[in-house]
Amino acid sequence: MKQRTLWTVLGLAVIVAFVAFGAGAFKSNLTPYVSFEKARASASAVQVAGKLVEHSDRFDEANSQLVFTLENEHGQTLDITYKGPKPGNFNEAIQVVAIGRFHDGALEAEKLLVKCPSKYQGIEEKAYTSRSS
Amino acid sequence: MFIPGVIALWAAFAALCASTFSYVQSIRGDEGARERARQFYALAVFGVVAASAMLLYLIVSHNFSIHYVFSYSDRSLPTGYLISTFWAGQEGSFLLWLFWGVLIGLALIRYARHYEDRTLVIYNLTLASLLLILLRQSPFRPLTGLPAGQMPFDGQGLNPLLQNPWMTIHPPIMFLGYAATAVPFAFAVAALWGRRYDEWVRASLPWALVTVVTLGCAILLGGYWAYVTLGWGGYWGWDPVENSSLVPWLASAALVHGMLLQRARGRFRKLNFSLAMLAYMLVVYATFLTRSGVLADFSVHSFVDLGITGWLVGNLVVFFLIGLAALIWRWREIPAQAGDEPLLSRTMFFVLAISAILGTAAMVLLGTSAPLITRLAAQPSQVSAAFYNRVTLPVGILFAALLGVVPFLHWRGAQDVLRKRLIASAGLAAVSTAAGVLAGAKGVMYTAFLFVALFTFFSNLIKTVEEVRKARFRVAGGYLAHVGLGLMLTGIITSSAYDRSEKVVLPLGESKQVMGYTLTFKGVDKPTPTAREAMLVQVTDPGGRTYVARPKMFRNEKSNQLVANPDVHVRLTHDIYIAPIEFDPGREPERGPTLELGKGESKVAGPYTITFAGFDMSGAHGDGQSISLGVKLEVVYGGTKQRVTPTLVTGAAGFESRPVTLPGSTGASVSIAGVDAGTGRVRLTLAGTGGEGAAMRASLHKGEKITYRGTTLTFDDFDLSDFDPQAGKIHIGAVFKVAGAAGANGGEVTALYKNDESGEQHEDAAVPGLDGVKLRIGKMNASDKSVEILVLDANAQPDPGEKMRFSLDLTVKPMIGLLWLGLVILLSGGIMAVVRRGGEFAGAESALAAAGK
Repeated sequence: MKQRTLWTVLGLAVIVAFVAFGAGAFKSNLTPYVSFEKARASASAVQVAGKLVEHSDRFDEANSQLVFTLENEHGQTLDITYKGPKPGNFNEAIQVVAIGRFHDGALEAEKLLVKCPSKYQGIEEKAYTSRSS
Repeated sequence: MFIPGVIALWAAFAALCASTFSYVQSIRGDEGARERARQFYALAVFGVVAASAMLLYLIVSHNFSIHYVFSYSDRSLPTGYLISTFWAGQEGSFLLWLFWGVLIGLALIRYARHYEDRTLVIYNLTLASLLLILLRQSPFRPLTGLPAGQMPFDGQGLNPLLQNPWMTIHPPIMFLGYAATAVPFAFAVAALWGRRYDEWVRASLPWALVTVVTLGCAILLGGYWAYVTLGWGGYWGWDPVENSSLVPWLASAALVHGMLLQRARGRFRKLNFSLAMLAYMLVVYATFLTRSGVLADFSVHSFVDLGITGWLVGNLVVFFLIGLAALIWRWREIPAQAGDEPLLSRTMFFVLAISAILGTAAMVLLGTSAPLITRLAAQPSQVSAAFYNRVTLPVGILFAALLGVVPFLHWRGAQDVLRKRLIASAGLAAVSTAAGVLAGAKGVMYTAFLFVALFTFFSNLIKTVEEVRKARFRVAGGYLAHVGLGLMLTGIITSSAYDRSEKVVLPLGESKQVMGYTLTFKGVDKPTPTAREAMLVQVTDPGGRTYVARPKMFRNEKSNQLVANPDVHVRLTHDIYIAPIEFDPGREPERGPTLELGKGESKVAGPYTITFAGFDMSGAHGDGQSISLGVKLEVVYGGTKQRVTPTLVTGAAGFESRPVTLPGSTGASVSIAGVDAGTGRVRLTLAGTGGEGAAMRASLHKGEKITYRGTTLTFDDFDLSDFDPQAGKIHIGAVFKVAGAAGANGGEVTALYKNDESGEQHEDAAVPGLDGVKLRIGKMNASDKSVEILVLDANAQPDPGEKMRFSLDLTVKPMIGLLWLGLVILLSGGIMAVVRRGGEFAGAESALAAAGK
């Protein structure tokens, strides 16, 4: 039975270590939904949602990125940059969700989720992930 | 409501209930009940198959009065894609799942033998749960909001991203895998119920393997589809929908290995009961996550809530309770073997590998469920892809290390050749890793992963070769699968950790150097009006080889959705991946002056002298598709004379004016603006010629001014003194005050726009003090009293316009081919295992049958 005890102890230790490791990684990689002010103040990755300000989107060729502005229900705005192709239906979106980090006056989005109005079926979804290089 | 379809589904449901009831009677000892139950089951199969056939018929016959048909198909789809709209939506994919489920049940009845009654009771429950969802959310419901008896002419069509051969076969394979997970679950519960704790493993192992192969195949297809069509450069994004096929796959792989353990060692029974239930629970949970709308804010392709959330939660609870109750009920009775297993044995390594697989699955499940878990504490959050990469890497390294050793272990100890083989395999892996490091592999963790992945590959390759040499092909399947796994892990590391990429903007015709590659944008290719626009990019690699990449960027007319497809060029050692980012169509050269000429007449425009020599009627009879009219011109530029013929062509879209280029500056051209058949006069437009082209353009309100070459021009007022619409004279003047550089008052000038019986005309105003500069009126806005002013300067530089530009992302992915090759080998090995285990089971069956006689 000695070997079995040893195994149990070792196994438990590995499991505890793994769970702790996983929980740590989980906590540090959470991206909460936050307000625009909080997004500006936050150093870690967050998620914001808003309406696309009409005609605010343009392609910044020098940095190869999409630049646009989101507006929330309080009328506040936040600039977003996104290094990747403009999602289909982007300009028809009723809501855009951007996930990323605030840096240098704009939220650098790693991922965009675009919600589009669909005449016959609630809401349809498309998401686009930029390369996480 | 399409009544026959609904009747078929209800009939299937009723028959399934009757079948279940009869099986319960049979368990209670009613001898004839089993035969009755089978007949009811056959009826249920008939109902589901009939419902499926009806939905397919509605789709193929374009019955757009059915909501489902209207939402996902249209008349323009080719037959293959049209059929695939069957599983394009929520309801159809549940029906497909159920379709596979009832067919699998037929095989189950044939082979379950003494487990049949109890297994089928549970299995029927799993089918009934799907049927209930379909009865709640029927694929046969009508399109609402239409006047009675009317049907839309066309449907909304299939998402263009799904119009891909890989994506059409992905769901059928995937749902076959989902359906197959119910078999080990039903067997496990039946085994506990009937107190037969061992034989069920033999009967359900082939089905667990079927799940591993089919889900693996579906994951492969999905990943490959994402890679070649979505254009974000990867094949796996840790999206909830992807994860929800990965987690059941991992659980099924763990189950297969647990079952092999139980068969070889006669222990680990409790583990396998738990694993069989877990695998099915995970499928139900994944269905809940992706179909209920709970992840609507977090996923690429999560379905929205269609009102079945309650049912999905209900399924989850019911089957969890059934499994748990059965386990608790018999837990103490399940025979357990005492005794230790040596550390260096296949048994212990299997246990460790199963733990590693389950650990990975648990982490992926945790990440996928993050929005649900965090909702309990605070605002819902999700985890980024970095989480998954971080937690799977160390477990992956441990796992691959185990896989490299296990081929040379017996169930109860090491083989004699262990040391020799390990040295060979580790040596080969070390040499390959060193080669990889020389080629640019960096990072301790990544290099370690590369080494263990190659170690797995070589160990299993050596073992496979050994087995094949001994002509033991039947047992080679398992090793071959792990050869594939080793290759796959190697490909994942090389292609994701060591890829290089750069973004570049390419103006038309210009070459740019990126990472040693020379890229030239050659233009847009659209051979037919309905073809999807492809960007032609000529690529010359560092070795000097050239090819033309055709990444696509087009707008889907039905959904007005911008679709971008990458171009993937496959080489032996790497893929060259070109993803479109943005296309700028550029700007035409600024319109120059318009000339009106009679036959034989000449006019001077900037540096050109143009003479109208006559009409070219040679295309007037047409080539059957279009008719063209040419205007023959003699152009004198810089002392040389040249003949050019711009044309007007009739086409499907009306008249089209085709310009011809002029000598001199780039982009200079002349085109026909109009032809007056009565007087035989033509109007020509010059573009990009400089000369009288607009050197400046501005919109001015009264009192606003612009400055051109030191002279200030102020818009004073409109001059409407000759404005008489009733007499057919729309003459508008704009008065400008001119002030020279010295501030001296240059006076006033008036530019005129005339529109009367002789047509539209501009009378430009010369600007005093500036030689060759004239003002012209452009657009006028009566409501806010503004006018567009064009400053025409004979000495201005020609405006070549702006070239079209294409922005792309170039990525070089080393050895990504290993990933696809590895997966294919893995699945081939899996299929060999299915054949072997299925054969073993059938063999045992016939032996039993023979013994029974």
